[in-house]
Amino acid sequence: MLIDWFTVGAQVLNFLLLVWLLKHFLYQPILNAIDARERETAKIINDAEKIKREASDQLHIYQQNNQLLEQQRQALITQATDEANQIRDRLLNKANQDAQQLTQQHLASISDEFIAIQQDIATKNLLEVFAISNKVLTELASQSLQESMFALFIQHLTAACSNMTTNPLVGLDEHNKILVRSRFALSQQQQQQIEQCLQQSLKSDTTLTSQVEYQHSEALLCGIEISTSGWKLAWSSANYLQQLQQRASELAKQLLPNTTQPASESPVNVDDNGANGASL
Amino acid sequence: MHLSPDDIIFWQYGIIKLNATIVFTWVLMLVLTLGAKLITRNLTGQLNRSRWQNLLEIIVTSIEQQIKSIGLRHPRRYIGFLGSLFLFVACANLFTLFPGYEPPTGSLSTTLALALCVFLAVPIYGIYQKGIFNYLASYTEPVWMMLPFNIIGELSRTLALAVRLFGNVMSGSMIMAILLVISPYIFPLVMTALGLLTGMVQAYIFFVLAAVYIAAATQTSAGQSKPVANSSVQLHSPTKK
Repeated sequence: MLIDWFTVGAQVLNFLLLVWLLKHFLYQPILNAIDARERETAKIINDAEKIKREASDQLHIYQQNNQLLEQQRQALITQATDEANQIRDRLLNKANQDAQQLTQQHLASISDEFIAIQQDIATKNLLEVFAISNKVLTELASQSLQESMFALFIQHLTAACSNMTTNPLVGLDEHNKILVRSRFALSQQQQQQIEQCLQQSLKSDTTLTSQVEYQHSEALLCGIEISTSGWKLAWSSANYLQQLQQRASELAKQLLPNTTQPASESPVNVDDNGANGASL
Repeated sequence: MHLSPDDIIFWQYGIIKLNATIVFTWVLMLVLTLGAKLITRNLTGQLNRSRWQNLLEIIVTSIEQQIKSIGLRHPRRYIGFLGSLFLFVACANLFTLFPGYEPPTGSLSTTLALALCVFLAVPIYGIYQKGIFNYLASYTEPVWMMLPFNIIGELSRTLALAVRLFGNVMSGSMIMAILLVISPYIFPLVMTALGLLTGMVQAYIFFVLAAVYIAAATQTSAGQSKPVANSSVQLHSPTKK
């Protein structure tokens, strides 16, 4: 008999027992592990998707921020460039103005210096001319020349004394001195002619001899001069030179109108006696 | 020479006996259980896992996929029974590599016991899935006159299931013994390799047929996919019947 029914029953029990054992020790643990891994995998995938979305969002935000920063950078660069251009223009303008001002100052300085040099040259020329003239007149001065000039002086004195407005003796009392200066000593005759002329203009008996005082003065170069308080009459070559100096100063003023120093302050006007001939 | 391992009796007390079929079945049960216990001792649900866990997962998921492909929508409900069938038959046939081993599947008592288990499991799963009245009504389909034929078919396929496995395994052992006498060096080696292949094929056939029977019993008129139609074709393709 191929079939042993006891063995059949035992094998059925054995197989059912094996089913229970394998289900308990094999299938259930393995399937649980697989389920746990699938859950873990699903969780990892979900987390990865979430991270991916977050990364995408962050990337989007980063790109936006980057774009914003780029715009700000461009704006700042533009602003800085504009400010730099403005500063450059301002500095250039200021530098140009300063340069122009310095150039003008330099030109003015050169012009002033040129004028001063011209003035100095003119002054020195005049001084040289005056010195030469003075030297010539001094060397040529002589008694005879003084006599000639004395004759002319007497004529002018007579003319002055005949006029009441220019009469030097008007208002003159006995205490006032009448000073007569000459390059060379006047002779007695010449002194008498002067006193006589003054006496005639006085038209009185008062004697003027004690009031007239005679002096020698080399500053007159050649000639004669009479002066009282507030009045003076001179006829000498020094007066010619003084007139020449005055005219030269006036000419220099006309030629150099921008000069800072007036011609009247030039050495041309220096005079030893400081007086101008009223009649001349 | 023994035609069946039932004939090898180690101990007997009345009708109670301890033959080679029962003993080697216990050995198989012990090996499978201990192996499963040892491997599943350090199971992990993480991505990193051991090679043995990978092997068991491959086996279990392959069985699950096969059950699902046959048409059972809830494979985990049947994997305990059907998977144990496959593993028991496959291991019983593979262990023929070891000298002195007598496969329990070479005993008609074992194959009949397995076929009886399938015979009982089919109505149990059918009633669980469809209810008792719907299940019993399925024997009258397509017309009530088919009832006796369906009952005969139910019994005959159980008998065919048992005899097919027994015949294949027993014939393989017989051929091996005969060839050992005729040509003890070359042919037994070739036939052993062929026997391993045949044993795996028979385990797969037994597993698939049981799954198809259960799927046929649990399928409803609507919403349930039909079992694989060509599974029965594969039954007849293997060689030795």
